[in-house]
Amino acid sequence: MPLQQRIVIFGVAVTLMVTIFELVRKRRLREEYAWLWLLAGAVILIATFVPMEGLSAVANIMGSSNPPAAIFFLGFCATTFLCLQFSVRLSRMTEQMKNLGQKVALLEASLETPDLVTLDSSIEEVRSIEEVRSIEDVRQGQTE
Amino acid sequence: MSPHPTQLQDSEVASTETSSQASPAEVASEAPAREPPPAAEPEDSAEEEDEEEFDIESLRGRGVVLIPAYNEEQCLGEVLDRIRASCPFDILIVDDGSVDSTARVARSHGATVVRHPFNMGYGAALQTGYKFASRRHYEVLVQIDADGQHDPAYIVPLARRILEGHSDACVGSRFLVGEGYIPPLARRAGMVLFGKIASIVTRRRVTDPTSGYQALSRRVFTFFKSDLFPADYPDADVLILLYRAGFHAEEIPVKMQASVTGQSMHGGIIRPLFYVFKMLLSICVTLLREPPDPERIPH
Repeated sequence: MPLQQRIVIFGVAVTLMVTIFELVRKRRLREEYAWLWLLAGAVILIATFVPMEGLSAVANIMGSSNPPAAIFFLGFCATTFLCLQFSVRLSRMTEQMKNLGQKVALLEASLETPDLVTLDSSIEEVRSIEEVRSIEDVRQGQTE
Repeated sequence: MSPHPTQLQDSEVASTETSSQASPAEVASEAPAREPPPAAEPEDSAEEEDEEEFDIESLRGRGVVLIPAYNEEQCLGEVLDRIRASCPFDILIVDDGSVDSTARVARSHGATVVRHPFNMGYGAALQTGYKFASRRHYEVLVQIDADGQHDPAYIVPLARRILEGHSDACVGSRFLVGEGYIPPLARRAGMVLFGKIASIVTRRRVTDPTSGYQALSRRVFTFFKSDLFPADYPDADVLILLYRAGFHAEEIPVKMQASVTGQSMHGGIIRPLFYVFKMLLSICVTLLREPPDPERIPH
């Protein structure tokens, strides 16, 4: 691989890693997501130091006679898996957000409409505790 | 309601298919029963007598009509008035983050409103209604569209099928009557395709797999509270899910009209294609999953 290409790839990898660190530092990217991107940056960085023979060997294993094409394909695969991983997380979060939204809607309805107070089981429990307490208060008043 | 849901039977289908045009009051008696329908005249007259004796007020407080609504201020008021005139059930509007005055119109017509903090889609709105109904301990839930497409006169016949224990889920089919609004050819083709798939899987004839006009028993809407309910696009896959979970579902004839607003969830070009793809995928994965046990679903 020509030196000029290695310098460009090295620059891209370093820029990527610095950007990731900066995003984490500014709390715009969570650590749990950052490690995947850091890993991607590290792989690109290492690739710049791998001799051409090494890249050719990887290409040969894949059945390709063109090392850059093989490396490009590996990068494409890695990006696809990253996207899939984020889709999985997104699906889970959508489900959680839906459940949360529904809970908020039901709670809000129970607060707005007094006769719907029994909507939420926790409120129901609180009410029953209050009823027990008020009964106990009455009993204590009677004994006094 | 039967304590344990039974599997769908072919004999029930046959009786459904024979249904002809009928008034809402007659629909319940025309709908399929668990036992073969008696042909003898004395029993027919007994059924008619039962219809005459049926006190609609006895349904008060036992059920809820669920209406998912998104920007439906135009026709919601009229729909609510028609529902009020036709049944004594409570009415719940799940306002799916509307930007118009849907919630205000609903409240002014005496309906209970549960308002989503943001738009989450038709399925999520339905599920919110199921959660509401489950917590309020209703015996039956009837879901109906807010756009005036469904005739509220069929709410009671649908609910009675559940309350009298004939089935766990009763779907109103526009194709069993054969009159009223018939959707365009392309949409009808989709309905036929998914109807065929649902018929094969559930071993009964499904004529209207996309009908949102349904009555559900308490066991069913409690089951649908779980994450097993396909809240993104509930459709023919729901019928298959019900079958796989061991619930008994049936269809009765209802009349439907074109939406007053003329808008459809499946309008445009991309959405119908996505709908077909999503539904095929959803049906496939529903069949590949382990059959769910309604008694062991965490809520």
